[in-house]
Amino acid sequence: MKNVDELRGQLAEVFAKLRDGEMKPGEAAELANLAGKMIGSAKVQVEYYALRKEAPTIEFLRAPYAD
Amino acid sequence: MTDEQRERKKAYLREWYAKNRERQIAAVGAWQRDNRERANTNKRAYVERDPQRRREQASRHAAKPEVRAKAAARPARKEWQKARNKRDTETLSDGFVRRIMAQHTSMKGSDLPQGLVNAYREMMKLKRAINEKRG
Repeated sequence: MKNVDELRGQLAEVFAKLRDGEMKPGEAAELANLAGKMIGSAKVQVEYYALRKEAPTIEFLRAPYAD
Repeated sequence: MTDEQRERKKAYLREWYAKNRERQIAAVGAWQRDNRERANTNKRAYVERDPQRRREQASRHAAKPEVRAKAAARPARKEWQKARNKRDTETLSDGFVRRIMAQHTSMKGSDLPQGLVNAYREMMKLKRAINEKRG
């Protein structure tokens, strides 16, 4: 998983599997927890740069095919 | 200017304002309507200069009996706001997700990149589904 869009896709997949009963809630909760940590760390990075009044490209948040 | 002159001038201006208050307020309102861009810029600059003072002013204004009465006389608006908030939480609207994400940070919701907001929305959906399954 290289960026936030892929993470979103994975979460949607987990959601579909959970809804169809292909995945247990406990397993999905672990993945949701991990995703929360990744999003949280990206948010901290965004906040850090905002406080420093900098606007560098954060690889994790860069949309694919942006170049 | 001596102290006495300063006091006299202050008293004169106070008296003048008391006499012309309504006209002055109407004139300022008309100017703000005609120069919306500049007026908004000025207002934003004022809030940024002293946010604490702005907050105090707002709470003083909200505590006035006439303002409270006006708000109480519009239950429909309250209902509408309630319905909107409910809809936002159910549909996980952009504004709602951004507000949740910006809680306990120094950022505003609008500072967050859209990609991150979308991922967070997906995670909220997943967590809701997990809680539903667990019952």
